[in-house]
Amino acid sequence: MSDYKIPGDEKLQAAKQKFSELSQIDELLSSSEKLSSVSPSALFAYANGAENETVEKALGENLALRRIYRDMLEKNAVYYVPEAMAASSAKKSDDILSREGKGCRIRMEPSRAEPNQVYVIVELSGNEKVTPTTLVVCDVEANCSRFPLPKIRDGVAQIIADRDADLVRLLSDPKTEAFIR
Amino acid sequence: MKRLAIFVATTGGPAQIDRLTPEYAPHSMVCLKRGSDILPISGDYDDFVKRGSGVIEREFGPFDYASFRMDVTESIGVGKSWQLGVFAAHAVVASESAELADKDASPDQVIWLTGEVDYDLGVVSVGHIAEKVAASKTFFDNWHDAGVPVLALVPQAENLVEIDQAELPEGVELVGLSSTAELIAQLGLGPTDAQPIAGSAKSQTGTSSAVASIIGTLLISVLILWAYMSGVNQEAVKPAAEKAVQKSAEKLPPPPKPKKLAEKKVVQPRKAETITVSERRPPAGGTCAKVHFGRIEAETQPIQSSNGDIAVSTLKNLCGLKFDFDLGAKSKFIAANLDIESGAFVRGNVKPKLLSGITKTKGKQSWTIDVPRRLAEPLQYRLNAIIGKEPVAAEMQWLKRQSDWNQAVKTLAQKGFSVLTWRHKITP
Repeated sequence: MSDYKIPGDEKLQAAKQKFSELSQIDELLSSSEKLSSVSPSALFAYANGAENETVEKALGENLALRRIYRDMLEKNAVYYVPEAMAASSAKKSDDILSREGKGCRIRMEPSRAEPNQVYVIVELSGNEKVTPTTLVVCDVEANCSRFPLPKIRDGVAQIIADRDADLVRLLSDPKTEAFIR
Repeated sequence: MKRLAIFVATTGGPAQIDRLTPEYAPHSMVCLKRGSDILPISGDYDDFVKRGSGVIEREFGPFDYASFRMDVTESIGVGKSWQLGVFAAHAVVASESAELADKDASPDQVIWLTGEVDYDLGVVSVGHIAEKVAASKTFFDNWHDAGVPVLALVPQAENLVEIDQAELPEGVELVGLSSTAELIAQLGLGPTDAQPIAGSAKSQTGTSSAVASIIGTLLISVLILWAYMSGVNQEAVKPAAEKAVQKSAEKLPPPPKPKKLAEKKVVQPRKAETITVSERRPPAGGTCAKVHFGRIEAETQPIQSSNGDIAVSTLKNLCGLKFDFDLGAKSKFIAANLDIESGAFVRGNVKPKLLSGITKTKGKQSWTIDVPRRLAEPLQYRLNAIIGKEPVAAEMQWLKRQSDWNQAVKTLAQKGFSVLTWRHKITP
């Protein structure tokens, strides 16, 4: 006699969604010899924060895989901040960009103390229950870089970075998009 | 303008507050070595700065900027013992008479601090005092060799006793604090500087008229207990009282100077050790405002003594008070304390460091204070001084905690310390 508990509608729907995503990825990956070295579950785990050098290397070499990865990021992001050019409120001054997404704004503020440093300020106004921990910024070729977010205080995560740091360089490029999860 | 180097004592060694910069970013942060490494205490520092959760903006603000970036030279770990040092750094930055020395500057004075600051600006005891002193030994030696005076500021009570037992190197002046007002005084930040002023004095403004009137009389009560011990038949007459005194002494905190406590000799203050309290009033045609701004010299009038009574002065045209402590020709340690018994806080009571009981001195030492321009109720205070051949700072801290004043004075007298006390009331 088994003790299996049938999941509720909500969990069932979520399971179906994941299955669908994984099947889709599996189909895409199996269509290419090069992509098959990365399993769908490994890519999915990586998109959710897991470390994996093999996946990282494969992503660096293959545009198609990066696009799949980027789609996974978008589906799993708590907040999405599109390219700055597409956001009406985007503004640029002194090479410091401010951009907005739904329930979220990312802006950079120069440091008065250290002119070669800037504050990256992630402001979250949405009512999402999940507390984001990572900021992922992707360029037009879906080259994505992950940056850990510090503890969010009063809806704000604040980072200090050098002006030539990858994070600042990517966010200063209006063509990049950001995912917060 | 004097340059103060502020060091936060940690168990890993002192960390200098190198720089405080107002910023437009929403959160205040603590950065290491001017880089982009953010210390874990940043969240607590932000809370400490923000109005509502902290005291910095409340006491030194409002600010034109959203936050501060504090750069430190070494990492500061968890806990809140950095708060006293951080408060000191903000006080210095807000003042007009001092500036914060950065890591490359030559300071006029080094301030070494540890302590927590509560929401009411009280200074709260912290842990690991002995470890912090041990980790700072080379630091103290280096500054001593460089000829730069070092002032160690710690919470009074148990921390003061602990640090005394940890044996600070010679040349380091030690002062215990119970409030940030005392911190401001110890830093020598003037009354015109931005500084927290406790109680109603903070909101007191306005002027008073200029008619001089002295009604005060002087009370000097030199409280000693030599009589308890000096009588030939004392043991026979008051055995119970004697035992009570000994029992009370057993409950004292660990003695800072064991050799001194071992002595049971009772010392009567000699005539050379005296306190004189004088009223400071403007000369004819002058005002207290001109006195306070240093435009004219106040005239001082010693208050006449009257044993057994509290001296009384009227506030009208009274600019301040001057306390003169005469120690005589021989060098001694003296710790003075102003205990406000009722009424408003006295402003500008920057106590000279020689009256902290750490440094030996001789002859006459003076302490000048301003009194509030208006009083809602009489201001009554008690001026205490402990004099001894050994450092007396710990004894003063102990005395301030005692509820039975007379008994405490007796106990100190038994240990060979002279205790001088004045009581004085200023009526509106």
